[in-house]
Amino acid sequence: MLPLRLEIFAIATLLCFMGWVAYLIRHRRLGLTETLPWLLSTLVALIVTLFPSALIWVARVLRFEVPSNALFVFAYLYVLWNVLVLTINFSTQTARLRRLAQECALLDAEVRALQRRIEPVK
Amino acid sequence: MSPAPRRSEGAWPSLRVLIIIPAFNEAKNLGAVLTGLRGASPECDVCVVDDGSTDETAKVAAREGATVLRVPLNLGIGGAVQTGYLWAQRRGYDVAIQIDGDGQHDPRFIADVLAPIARGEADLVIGSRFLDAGGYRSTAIRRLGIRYLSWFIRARCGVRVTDPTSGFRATGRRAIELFARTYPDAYPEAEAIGLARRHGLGIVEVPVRMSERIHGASTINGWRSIQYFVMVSLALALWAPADGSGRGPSPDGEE
Repeated sequence: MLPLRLEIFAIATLLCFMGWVAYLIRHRRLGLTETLPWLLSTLVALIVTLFPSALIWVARVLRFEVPSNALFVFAYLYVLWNVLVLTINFSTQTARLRRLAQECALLDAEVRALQRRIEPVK
Repeated sequence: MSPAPRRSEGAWPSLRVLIIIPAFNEAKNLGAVLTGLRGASPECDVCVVDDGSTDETAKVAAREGATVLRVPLNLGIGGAVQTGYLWAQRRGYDVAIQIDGDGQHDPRFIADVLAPIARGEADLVIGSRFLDAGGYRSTAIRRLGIRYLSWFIRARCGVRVTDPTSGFRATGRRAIELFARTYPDAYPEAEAIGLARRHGLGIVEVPVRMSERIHGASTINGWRSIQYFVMVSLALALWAPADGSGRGPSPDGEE
């Protein structure tokens, strides 16, 4: 179905991508939970590349005119999902950063108050 | 100044009152504000939240004898005000009063916003410039926006507030606890009313007098004000309506 060279190229690209992500996780530059969506969705892409008939079947079930359209739709959803996961993460980090900054301000005030009590007026 | 809460010697001697002043680059205005406060209500503790200012804000505040909470980054007004509420909560204050650092709020009205809380009639008191106290009432276009927000809050949360964007407010114990746990982020004044209402807190308004800021421009102008009203409407619309069931924010304790 798929030209062999094209299939090899696609599989190689996906494997490289997964390998890179795995490398980043191993070296603690990416969190496992944050990258799980990427790994899972790449795995699905890999399956579709190995068995193009799976995509054709799904496209037919969902009444896509051309299977490649289904591919575009799924690729778009894939990116959209991953971006949403990132945005959720970003919001969580912002909230945490805010609380941390506030705790710093409170502690800073406590420390200065204690300092003033230990060494009153200079 | 000793950081331990003092008991007020004013009209309600049993209450420990903290005045919270969020300030971002307000060194020019802050001195006059703090002097005015000392004259009007010397029995209250004052804490200035320096929201990552790049000018002398912290120095001016410390020189005037206020407790300074120096936030290491600029969090914006919501995060800054919440820092003050955290301080009030940790230090066990009975009442926290929020005042702008730009000199818009007349400190002589502190007793007025404090009174309903001291009498146990409300958890959140909003100082309104539209309840017959005279003084500066903002530009026509902004008054229109405020009318709209007021209507929106009434429709959505079922509480009548004539000046929902007012940053002159007093909070009792329950409101301090709530705001220390959860406080809205970008445009907090109106949202905080919805939040308080959702948690079943009592809200009342009292008339206060406001003036134009002394130095510098307000942060909300032109397109920013349109963005402001859209964002606040969205926030009020998306959040659960008032039911007083105390269904809180996310378990993280942060919105």
